[in-house]
Amino acid sequence: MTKIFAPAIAISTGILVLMGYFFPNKTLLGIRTAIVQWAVILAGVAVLVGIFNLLAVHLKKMQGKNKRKGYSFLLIISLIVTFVLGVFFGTNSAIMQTVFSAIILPVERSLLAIMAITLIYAGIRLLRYRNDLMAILFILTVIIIMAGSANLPFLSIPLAGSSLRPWLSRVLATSGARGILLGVALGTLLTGLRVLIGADRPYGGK
Amino acid sequence: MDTKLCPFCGKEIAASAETCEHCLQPLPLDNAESVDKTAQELTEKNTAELEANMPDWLKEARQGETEDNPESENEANEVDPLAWLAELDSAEDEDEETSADWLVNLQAETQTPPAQEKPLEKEQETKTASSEKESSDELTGIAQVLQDDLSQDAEIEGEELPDWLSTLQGESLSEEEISLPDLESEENEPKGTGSLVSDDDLPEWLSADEDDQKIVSKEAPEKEELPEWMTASAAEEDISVLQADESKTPAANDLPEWLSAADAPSSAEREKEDEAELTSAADLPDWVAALQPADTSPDEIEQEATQEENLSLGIEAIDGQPSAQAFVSSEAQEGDAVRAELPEWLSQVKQTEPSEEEGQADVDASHPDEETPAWLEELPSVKLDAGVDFPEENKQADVFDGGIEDTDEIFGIEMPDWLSSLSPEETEEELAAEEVAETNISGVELPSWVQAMRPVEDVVSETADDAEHVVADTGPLAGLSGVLPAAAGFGRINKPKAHSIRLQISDSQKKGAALLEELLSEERKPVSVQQRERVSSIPLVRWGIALLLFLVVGFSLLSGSTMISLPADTSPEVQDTIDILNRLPEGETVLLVFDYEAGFSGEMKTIAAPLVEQLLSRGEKITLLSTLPLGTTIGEAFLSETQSIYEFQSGVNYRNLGYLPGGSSGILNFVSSPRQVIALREEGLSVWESEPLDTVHRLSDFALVLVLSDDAEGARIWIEQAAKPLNDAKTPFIMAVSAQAEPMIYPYYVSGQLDGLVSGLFGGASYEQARNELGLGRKYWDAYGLGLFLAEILLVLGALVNFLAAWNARRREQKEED
Repeated sequence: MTKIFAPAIAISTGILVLMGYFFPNKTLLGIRTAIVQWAVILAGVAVLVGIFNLLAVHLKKMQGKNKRKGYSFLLIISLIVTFVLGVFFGTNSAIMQTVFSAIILPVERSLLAIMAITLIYAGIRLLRYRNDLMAILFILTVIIIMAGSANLPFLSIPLAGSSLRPWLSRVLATSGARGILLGVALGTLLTGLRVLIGADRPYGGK
Repeated sequence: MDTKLCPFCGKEIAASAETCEHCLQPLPLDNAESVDKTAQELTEKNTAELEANMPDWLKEARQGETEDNPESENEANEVDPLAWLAELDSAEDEDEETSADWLVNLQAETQTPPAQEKPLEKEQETKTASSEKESSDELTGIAQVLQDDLSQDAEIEGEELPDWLSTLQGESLSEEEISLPDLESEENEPKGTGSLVSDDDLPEWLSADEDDQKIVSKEAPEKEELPEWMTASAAEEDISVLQADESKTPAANDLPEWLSAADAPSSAEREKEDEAELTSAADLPDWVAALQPADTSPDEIEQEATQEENLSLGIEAIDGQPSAQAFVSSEAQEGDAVRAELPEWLSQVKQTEPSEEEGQADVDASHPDEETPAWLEELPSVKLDAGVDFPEENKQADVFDGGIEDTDEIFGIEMPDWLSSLSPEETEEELAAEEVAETNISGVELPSWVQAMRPVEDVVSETADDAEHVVADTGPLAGLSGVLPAAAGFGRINKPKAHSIRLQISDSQKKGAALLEELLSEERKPVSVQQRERVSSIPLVRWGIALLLFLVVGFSLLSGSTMISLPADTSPEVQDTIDILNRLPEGETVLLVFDYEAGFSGEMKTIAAPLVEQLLSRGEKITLLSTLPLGTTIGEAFLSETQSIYEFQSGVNYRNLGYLPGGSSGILNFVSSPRQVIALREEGLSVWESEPLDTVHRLSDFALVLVLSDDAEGARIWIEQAAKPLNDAKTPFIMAVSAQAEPMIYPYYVSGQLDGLVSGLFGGASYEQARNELGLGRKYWDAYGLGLFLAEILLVLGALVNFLAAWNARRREQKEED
């Protein structure tokens, strides 16, 4: 039964959504909207299942002789408190704004600050372990982009911010990134087609 | 009335008749009839004393028979004409129970076995005795003839008469006594069976016995009216009493009680044994029961002959001779010796033959001509015929039909025809022929099934031994048999061909081998392991970098320095953005999409703040939406931090639509039909029914779509899904993205899919610079510039130092290598 129904449902759903993109019909639009809503609900349930799984894992860690059981305890407490506040007071309430501003925002910013320090340190140590042309070129590119992103105090590097940096970032970097994105797009298209024709069945039913 | 045919004359007689009315032949009893009679007569026996010693199974069997067939007992009592005798017998038994010990003891001694008192056993005894009588008659005559011969041979050869011959005589005489009541009973039968043989026809010894019986009958005239079995038992009792008197045994009344008591169980045991035999005979199959009298008769004859050995006549003359049994055993031993010479398969085949034939064959095969006298050479065939083979019917037929004349001759001490016809020469010839046949027994043509039973070794040894027993003459296997013969030319020893041990390789192969050998030798050399640099547990460099950055950025933020000038030129995208915002009609609904993470909120806040401030300053109504779970929360925080000067009232100038799930599909659905995707209700009403969304039915109905994103992927999805309908509707589509996403989003601006683009702190500062406003861009611009400058310095210095260190290390290695 699984071998028949699962591919049939997946292929028919994909075709309906794809036809909704190409044919702006109200019926197809309604079907596509309903299917996307189902997918959203399933995704929300999946997130909820993931949260319970995370809770179970850390509860199990707290039971054993784990030196880091304090972190698990802190995570569980934070999760429960945030979940209860969000359910009872809403996501846009003042107390949730306080939780965001006092906990989430500083934590994420601190992580980015640590990343800045780590990247600087890695750039410094790069030529220590990889002393070749590509490493030197990487370091030079980084310095030029940084120099072109902002004016230097007490002095200015000519053509760095006006032409050199934009050319490096918008031409060289973008062209490389677009090439990668084109490859990703082609891969995504091929994967979608394989799912539609039933060659790939990530939903099971092999 | 049931009738049956006489097996002798073929005439019809009564079914219950024991003798033929026409030919006066005693009829053979069927086994079933004998068993029935046995059962009937057993019930007439008072076995109260014996039942106490009977085994349980016999008790149960007797009770079962009594319970199952109560009528049969009555019928037996009614039908059996001898029932009154059974009652009399039981009365005697009752008297015996109350009689004195001496009488019990005397009865135990004088009584014939209890089985003889029973009519059935009497009939069996009659049958057995008739056959025994026949054999004893023959044996008696033979014994008398042989006795004369023995007397002559003993004188000639000086050998003594063997015991078996004396035993035979004893048997013959004892059989006379045993069979006497039977004959008498036959004579006393009302049907005239007693007149079967006249006195004239009888031999002398038999007539003498009759005289003796008459004497005995005169001594007990009361017993003439008794039935035959009673007279027989009485006669035997008289004889036993006489024997007891002759042997001077103490009188029963003189015996102590313990001795009489000790004798009593013997009679009880005899009764038990007899009953067990009868019971077993009843349980045996017919063919076994038919064989039983013939099997038991020789033993009984020998036992009785042994018991009454003192009464036999003429025994003293042959005392000291080896007994017949010993003779037979010696013959059996010799037969075993001969059998031992035979192959096993043949002896086994012989063993499977019937016992009678086996005994005959054993005796025949064990005749040593040298040791046996001439009279004995003739005797075994006769003796064995008389002693082993007891076919009842044939013997009865011989006795009563044609054997009477022979018996007359035998008892007339004349050689029988068959015995006189045997001359010594013929006997010797026959024996010689038998010996030749025995010696040539292996040459006898065996049947096919016997040949198939022959062992394989015999067949193989005859056929394959000669072919396989090849003895090696030479070589290491010399003298061994069974060696495979060498074929012609096989194993010929030649001088081995000389082969060169030098490798035949080319020069290139030699070079390759040398290279391989060199590599292997290098592998064997020890390599010094370069010690890794010790890594400090405290990352001093990282802590130093962090400390420098904190100091520089902190100093710039806290000091509010303006040492770094703002960008002098405004980029085209920033200028387009400013123009679009300036062209927006006032009081329109603007969609702000907050698709960035909280970590990028500092940068995004600096970029988006001048744009949002411009929109709010123009009185635009703001609608918040996000494709990230925390997006709307970030948007609320953004408005509260940067636009705190404005008062936002939900449902008046501000609406938060919340989280838009579904990724690209959700964006597409929202672009086409936002009311279906966001079904948010506030205070009982749909958000789409109140301001500022009451005029919005699709995405293009918004006056401006401003997407704030820190991720190029999220921004690209919005461009791909919303740019086309917005461009078609001439709805401005502007993006404010992080500096990291600018390279990927900028082409969309260049291509026209985006109407305006502001990227990074540099774009925010430019926007502020273009509007001549000092905001967050100006505040963070020095810190941002100093931090980048410090990072550049650290990178340059650090990279240079590390590059030089690496270069020095390489040079050092090269010097070491040189």
